[in-house]
Amino acid sequence: MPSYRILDHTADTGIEAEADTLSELLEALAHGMFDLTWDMDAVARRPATGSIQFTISSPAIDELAVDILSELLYVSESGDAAIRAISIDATTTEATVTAETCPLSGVELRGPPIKAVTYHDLRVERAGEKWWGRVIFDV
Amino acid sequence: MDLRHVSADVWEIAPLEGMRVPGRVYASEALLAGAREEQAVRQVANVAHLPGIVEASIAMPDIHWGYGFPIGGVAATAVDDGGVVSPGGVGFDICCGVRLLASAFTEADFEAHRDAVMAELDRRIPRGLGKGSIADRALVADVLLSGAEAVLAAGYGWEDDLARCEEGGVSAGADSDAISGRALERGGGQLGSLGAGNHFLEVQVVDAVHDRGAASAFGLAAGMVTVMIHCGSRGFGHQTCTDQLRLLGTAMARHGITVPDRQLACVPVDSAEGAAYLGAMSASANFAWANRHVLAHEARRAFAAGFATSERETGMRLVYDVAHNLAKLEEHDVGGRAVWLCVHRKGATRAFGPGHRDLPADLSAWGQPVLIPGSMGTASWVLRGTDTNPAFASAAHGAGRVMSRKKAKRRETGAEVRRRLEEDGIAIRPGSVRLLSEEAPYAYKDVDEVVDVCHRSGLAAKVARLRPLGVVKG
Repeated sequence: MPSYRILDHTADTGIEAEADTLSELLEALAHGMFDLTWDMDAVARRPATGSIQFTISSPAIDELAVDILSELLYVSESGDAAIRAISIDATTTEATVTAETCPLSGVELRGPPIKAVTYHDLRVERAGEKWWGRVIFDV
Repeated sequence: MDLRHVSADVWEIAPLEGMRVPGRVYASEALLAGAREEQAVRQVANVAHLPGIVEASIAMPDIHWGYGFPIGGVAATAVDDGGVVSPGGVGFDICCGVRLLASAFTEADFEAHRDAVMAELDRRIPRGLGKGSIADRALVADVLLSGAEAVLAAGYGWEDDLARCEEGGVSAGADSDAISGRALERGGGQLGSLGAGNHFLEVQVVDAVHDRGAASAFGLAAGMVTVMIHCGSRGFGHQTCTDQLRLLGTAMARHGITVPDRQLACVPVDSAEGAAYLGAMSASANFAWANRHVLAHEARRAFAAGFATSERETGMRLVYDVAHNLAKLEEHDVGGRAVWLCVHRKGATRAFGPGHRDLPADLSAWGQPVLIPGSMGTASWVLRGTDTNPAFASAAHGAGRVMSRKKAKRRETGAEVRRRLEEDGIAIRPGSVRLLSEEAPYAYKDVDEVVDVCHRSGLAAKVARLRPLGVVKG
């Protein structure tokens, strides 16, 4: 499973992650976003009942991250679905996202549902040989 | 960031490069200490960069670190002088607010029927993930334009509710064309639901009255059981703000505006994009007014069932419903001149003083009821607007967080928080026991001190203190 770190934020919640590639970083941020609300390991053990795929273009790399995460939130909440097996193929301005879905019914909350992805303190950048990113969520 | 102590509870940030006005924070030393350690004070300064802002970028006593605006932030921009509207000054939970119901019951009455009432509330109040109690999409479409009026016409609530609701429960200027189909897909089915996080329905008792005249006018008396509901526009508002922020990000460049935090994206109020945002925001506000209206309806039904009486016999009249995440066009005195302003209140409560033309006649002599919820297990307050408010008729909106969710979870488990509340005699019906730890009383500031600062600095005047008896959480 991709790894991420929870940041201290007084009102809301943030995460940061590091990865070898931009695509892996975005996958880690997407995984972390949902893992704040429910246990993604438990969701991974549930049978998939559907799949999604979408492509997003954005003018800047950090906005691309917000757009991908916001779209995943929309897909999840509008479809009453937990998202799993998230795979992202990204350049700095475009990404194709594929994932599996399963019903939310019966999924136990371990954190408050995320309302939105914010631009506050947003970072997506190359750090030496790695990619590093930070996102703050409104909860 | 350098803060100058101006007077007892007032601190000022002198204008630095790019700030158009100073920053001003209403807080005691103790309340300010937490805000100093985070980015909240910097956020007050950032808001002072907004084009058209007048007088000061202001923060309420419950100030804490938000995104873009601080929570507890107030900013007024001059509509006729290039003033902007910023979705970040409203937040994703558009028109999140608080509704307070009175009742015909005493604490002893409630204790005698406590289990039955709490069981009914538990059953009737949808919360956490998922849908609300209303699935009728045609009604949701009406709600976007007519707010609480639409659900009242559909049979929810009481006729006299609307008079005791900010804006009469209907935000004028709602534009359903500015709403995306995605907002409806995401949140349209959530009408009549509480959500999660810091949202709650709480049964309380009036344990102290500080202003008997105002309390009586508001319909409150010592020993009376009340019901407080805190929630907003759910996924509908969250998606609307997300959509609008994306649009405004590109529009801002066309208007030649730069801001120090992308979350402060803004456009002139008097622009096509500004009008579209305000139209979408108003539609989301209407969703929130209607949402609290429906939840109040379900609370009345729960009490009626729990007490085996009729809904009318519960005496659960609406005391008031007030928003604390909204931007509103209001006329205020600026330098001795009446000016139309776009007043952003991000975690701040409107607090009109006595005689304001927008107050219902029976409240005009007393000022608007100001509802300040505490955290789970601590007091909540009713205050009233004053005619000397120094912050564009704004007051605090809650206790204000002082501890991150991560730290709060480490301190106690949800089960421990639940046991502690029950030991204090508070019945708790959580949607998720695990989530209780994030909302534990120790994660919040002292609400009594927040209210003391409001009272001392003229933001609002104390009317009554409410003590929790039962909590329904998401």
